[in-house]
Amino acid sequence: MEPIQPDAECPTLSLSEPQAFELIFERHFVAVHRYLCRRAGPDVADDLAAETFALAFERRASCRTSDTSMLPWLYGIATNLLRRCWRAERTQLRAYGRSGVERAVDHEEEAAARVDGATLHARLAKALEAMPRKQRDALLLYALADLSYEEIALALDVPLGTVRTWIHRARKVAQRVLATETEVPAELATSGDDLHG
Amino acid sequence: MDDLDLLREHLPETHAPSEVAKRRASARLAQAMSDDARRATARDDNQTLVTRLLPLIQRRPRRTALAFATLVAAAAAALFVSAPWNDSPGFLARAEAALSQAGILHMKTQTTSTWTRPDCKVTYSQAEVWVDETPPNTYRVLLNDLPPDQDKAHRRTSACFSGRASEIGGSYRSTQTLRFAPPNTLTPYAIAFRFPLNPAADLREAISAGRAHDEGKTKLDGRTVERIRIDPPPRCPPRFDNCPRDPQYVYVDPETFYPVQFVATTSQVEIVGGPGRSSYSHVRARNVTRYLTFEYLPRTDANRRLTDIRAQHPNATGP
Repeated sequence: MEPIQPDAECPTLSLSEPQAFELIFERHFVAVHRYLCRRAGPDVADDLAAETFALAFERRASCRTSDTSMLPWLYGIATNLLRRCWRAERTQLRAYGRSGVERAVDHEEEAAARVDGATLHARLAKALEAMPRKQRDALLLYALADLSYEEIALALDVPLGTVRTWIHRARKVAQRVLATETEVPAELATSGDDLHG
Repeated sequence: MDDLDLLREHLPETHAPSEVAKRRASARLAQAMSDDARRATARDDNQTLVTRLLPLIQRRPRRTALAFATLVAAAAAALFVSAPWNDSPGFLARAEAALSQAGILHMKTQTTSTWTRPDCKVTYSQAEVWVDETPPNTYRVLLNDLPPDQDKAHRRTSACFSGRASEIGGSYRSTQTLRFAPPNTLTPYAIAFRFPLNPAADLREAISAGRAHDEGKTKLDGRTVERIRIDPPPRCPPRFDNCPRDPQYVYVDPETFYPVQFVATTSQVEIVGGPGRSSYSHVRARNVTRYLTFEYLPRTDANRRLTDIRAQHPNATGP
């Protein structure tokens, strides 16, 4: 077998040999689908993941890669597509918030812990929901997709400093929400730029 | 547990995408690639996708590195059968009339492939094909040039392998191809013929673009034949493993217009390996296919069953 081709070569090659783009699909479909699924649920993820790769193919000439991987760029496309599906994502967040993390509960202490956990998750869900979209995107790319700040900057096509600021603010909000007994702070409840998207 | 951990727990890992989801996404990507090719082709002087008439030999999800020469030959025959050649009105018009028949196309072919990378020459055993010319165009193929399992084989081994016997069947409209596995099982197999929805219309466009040429009579093994040159398209459609880069030549009987020999040089992108470890390279081959039998059978129930792999193995287990 010949050496594995880095992603970076594939978009260039796929301009003349479109089949080469299939490598990108094979390599990254699962990761992109997982990310979308965590954010918006499986039904939306199926559609958006498919759309992500179709769009990526169409825009391959202008793709941005980080070192050898196209994954951050693909996450960026997926994140942009998610904006069209804010309602689905919000529904998913609320569902998570209501259910917390599902675990078997056999004892009273654990049941109590679960209640606390569920409360925590509900608050976190509301915080995410109320967070400005760009901050939420950056935070979730960081937390769920394990992208570095540099990769997030590439994915969202913004300066590195902006990413740092967004994530810092988003984490501050999350920490504050988690540290207090109150609901989402009032100033956050109205700061979501796409709350009604 | 910090806020990030909690966030990860809050939005938990999900299961891997289903096969259905992946197939749908793959189909969506294929559509995007096809649209892209169509736009590119339109830009190139409105040239047509004549090569879409050749079937795509496609193996998924683990791609076959090497296409089957037999199927290429069958495709070439089918292309010619559908071709309303018009740059030599007398000959080509008669050819169209003679070859556009409804029935069961039955062919026996023998192919010799000369691989330029790696360097080897292989003559395969005879293959036999039945194709119902009526939609959904069921077909059955007895192959003798099936490559070894790609995941286990080196590219050179694949190219120079003289083939395994195999029986494959499906239809042009279905993405599912079945393969008979002795002693009595039908299994899904990731190789399929693919034809455009309207090959005649596409080919008419191609001919009007001036890429099909009647080059007159010539001798082939002492026999007088007519030679047709098909120039390559300006741009290959995506996912077309056997897209021609050089002219292809079809030699036909000047009386019956049936194909006698087909010569094509193919250049393919080879994709090997699975997710996360795949790579590609180029493979080239010159395929010379002789048509030992080329005939139309009447479309009787018995002959239609010849195109139907399930009918040939009514008691086989499988999907």
